[in-house]
Amino acid sequence: MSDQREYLLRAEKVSIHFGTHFALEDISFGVKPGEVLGITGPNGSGKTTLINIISGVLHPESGEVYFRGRRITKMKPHQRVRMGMARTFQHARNIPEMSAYENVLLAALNSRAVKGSHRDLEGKIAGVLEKTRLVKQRDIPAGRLSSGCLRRLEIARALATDPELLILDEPFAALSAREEKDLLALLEGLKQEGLTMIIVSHRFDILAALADRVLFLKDGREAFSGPAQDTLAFVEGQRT
Amino acid sequence: MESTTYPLFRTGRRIAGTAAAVLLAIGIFLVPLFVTNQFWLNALIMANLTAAFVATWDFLAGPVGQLSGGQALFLGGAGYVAALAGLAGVNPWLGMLLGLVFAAIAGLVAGLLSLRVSGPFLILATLALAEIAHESVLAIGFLSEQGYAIGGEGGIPLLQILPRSAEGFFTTAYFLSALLLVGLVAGLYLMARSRLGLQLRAAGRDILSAEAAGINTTLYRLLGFAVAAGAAGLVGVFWGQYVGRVTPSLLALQFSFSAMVLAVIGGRGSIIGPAMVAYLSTAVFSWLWVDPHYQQLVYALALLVLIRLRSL
Repeated sequence: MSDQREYLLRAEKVSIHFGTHFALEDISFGVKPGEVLGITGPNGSGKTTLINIISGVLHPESGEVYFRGRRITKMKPHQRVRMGMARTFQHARNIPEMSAYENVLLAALNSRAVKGSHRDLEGKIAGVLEKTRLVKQRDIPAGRLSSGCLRRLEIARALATDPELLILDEPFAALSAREEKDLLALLEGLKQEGLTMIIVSHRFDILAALADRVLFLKDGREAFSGPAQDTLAFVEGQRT
Repeated sequence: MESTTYPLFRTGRRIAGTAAAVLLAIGIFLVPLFVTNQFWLNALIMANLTAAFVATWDFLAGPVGQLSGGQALFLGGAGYVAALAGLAGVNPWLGMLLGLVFAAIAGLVAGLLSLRVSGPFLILATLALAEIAHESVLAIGFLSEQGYAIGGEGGIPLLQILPRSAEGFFTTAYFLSALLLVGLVAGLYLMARSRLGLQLRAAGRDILSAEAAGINTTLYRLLGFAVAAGAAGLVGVFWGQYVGRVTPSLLALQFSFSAMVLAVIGGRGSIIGPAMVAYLSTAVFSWLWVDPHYQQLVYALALLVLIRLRSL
């Protein structure tokens, strides 16, 4: 990989298997600051496994992961969050009995940014809820929110940690057309602000709109890596 | 769960709740003005201690989100360590501190277990720890230099800081037990509702979500266990000091079982509710002269009835 210092995140020859099945084999890629990388592929290709390795939920059997030039392969998820990496999950995970405000507060308390006053903290939470359009849902328990609100709440929680890298795992799954539109607008806004993102999605149209590059996985291996607009051509070529 | 009703109503409810709790706490301290009979003071002291103990289990099960089947380990274990320290000639105050330290360390051990097992397996594992301690203290006994039996079923005597023969012993003991109850319940309640408590709850509910929010879930789970165990240990050392002796019954399953049942009846996770139920039930059973074995029977039946009602 050329000039490793230019990458915010790097994965080098990452491999893991479950039983006799290789979930990922020799995956290497990098994400530059401000870039949006899309990760796609058929079901079972290893996308979520790769995200789990990057975020620390799983540790690879071989290979390394670097963030800001520092090896983080064996670090726990909360340590990576404190370094500036935040993620959402394929099935939105929040604490259901806590309100939207409390879910975001949890993350804001553990943000990597320098802690300010109580007013600063409240201001940050208010700002994040406003950005993700959750002001009206502030005091509603997460267990009562719609799927679209839950997705945005996860992103709000991630943003409250002041991340340099935001990883989104299937953020558009199970959303209505209206919710999709809202989420797309939010992510476009974050992209314009220069936030580095990794987006896992089956949706080529979404990736074409948001991603600068796409990594296509198949059977746990890298099948394609290149500009987003070339992904569809590659997939079409696979089918013929 | 946080209410979706109007802020003023929520604020009003909070003020009313706080006022009620403060009045209740004041009421507990005023009891000796109306009760001077030693039997009743003893019964109410035991009610204070039982209520405080149940609150420690409820803190673990509620805010920390972990179920312990062996809370008696921390209660009786702390008492035994304090008693053994006394036998070794250690100052009683230092002995109590050692008992607290033991309870906190035992809590950390249970907390480490919770990182590997959960739910019914954690209940069984913590129950096993308590039973190991219980059977060990039952089995181990020896004769002192003066020829007295130490250990075994008879337990171990403690050097009381305030001797039972002292004037006003029961009144003083009552105030101290009331202070322990109010202080401990207030402390655990406020901790549960603080930002620390929020993170404890998150770490107990969903490890992945909590880690994604930057919470060190291992640290918070261990902290939760250490606090709950240390609090139970505080009750245990006071219990030993009051009675003047620790016996294997302090480590018995019935204590752990009672704590679980009373907490569920009083409203798991509310801390104040379980403490109130424990206080009232201990006082009522004392008033009715109910044998401890029948008390356990009543608790078990009450639990079954509650489960049935909730399933309707």
